[in-house]
Amino acid sequence: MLTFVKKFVILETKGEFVRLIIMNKDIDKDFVTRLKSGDKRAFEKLFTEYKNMIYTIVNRMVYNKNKVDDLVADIFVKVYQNIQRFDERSKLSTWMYRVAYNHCLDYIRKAKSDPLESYEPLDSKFDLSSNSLDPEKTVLKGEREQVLYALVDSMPERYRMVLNFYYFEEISYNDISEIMGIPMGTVKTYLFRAKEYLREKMKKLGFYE
Amino acid sequence: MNECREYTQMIVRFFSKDLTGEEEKILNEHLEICEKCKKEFILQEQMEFILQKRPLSEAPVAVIEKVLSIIPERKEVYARPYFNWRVAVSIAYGIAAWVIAALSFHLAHQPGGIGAFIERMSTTMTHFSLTLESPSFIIGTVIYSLVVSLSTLFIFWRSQLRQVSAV
Repeated sequence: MLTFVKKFVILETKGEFVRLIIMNKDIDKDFVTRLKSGDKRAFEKLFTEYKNMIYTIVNRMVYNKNKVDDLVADIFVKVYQNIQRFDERSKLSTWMYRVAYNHCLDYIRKAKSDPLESYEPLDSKFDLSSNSLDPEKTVLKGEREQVLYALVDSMPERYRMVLNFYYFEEISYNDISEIMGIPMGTVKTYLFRAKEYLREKMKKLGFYE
Repeated sequence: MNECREYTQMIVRFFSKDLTGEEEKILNEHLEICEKCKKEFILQEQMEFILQKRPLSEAPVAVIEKVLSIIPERKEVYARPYFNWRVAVSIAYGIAAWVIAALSFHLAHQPGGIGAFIERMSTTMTHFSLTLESPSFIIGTVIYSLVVSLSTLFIFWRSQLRQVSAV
């Protein structure tokens, strides 16, 4: 009955109800069918709902900020072209994040081997082994959040992305494992190490006494 | 000291929802007696809060325009006929309209039938001095039939139209 009601409302109103379903990450099969049949309006809805999320993933994964816009556009074109490959065993959002994650990984790998690409990891800016961040300055400015975010952004890619995905919308361990293509146990280990690292760093920097 | 190290690790795992019920109980009991670990707990809680509230980046308008312009237009083509609620409605609508029209026409020409009764009772028809044979009435009936036919065809056409191929 619920399925019938959902189908009916989607057919009748299209816009708003579909949006709600996407927001709840409870993608109705009809919506996926519309995407697969090439419905441009359905794709535009999908894009509207996920543009900030995908933009954030790319922005936090790739250090070359000049490339972020192009990568985001490439990812959405990839989603559009490959939607037929979405087998509906996972959530649509999980599949999209995986496409985004893999696309960024490809770019990072290529950028590392291409001297013309200005790949500049933050690790080189923040020497985490020493206290290169000035805790007094930042404490005075009351920028504890900014320091914490900077520490997250300076972590190695896998730790950083596990942490980001975990806090995005409390994506499950299982989904993170699927997005990043690593076992669930590894996800937990990365998350644990990342949090321990952050706590120790914040204490060393004098933010928590 | 080493013992507290273990509890600190448990605190991290607690906020990752990675503790068993038994472990949670042990941690709670320890926190009640250990001030140092209680501080660690508060510290971790504050960090979790900050990380959770980190805002998403807003996709710039340029990106939005770029993506929407890149996505190729798809032309609408006729797919193989299929049955859905629109088809059902258009067929039912068409049949009902023609049945009503035929019945009205038949009854109108029966002596003492419902048509004559409508003609006598209808204030509109009386007002405009219309009879069932008058040209205005016949033209009106033709227009009604055309509107019904065309709207039925339109609903049916839309029901068969699907976006299936990219240009």
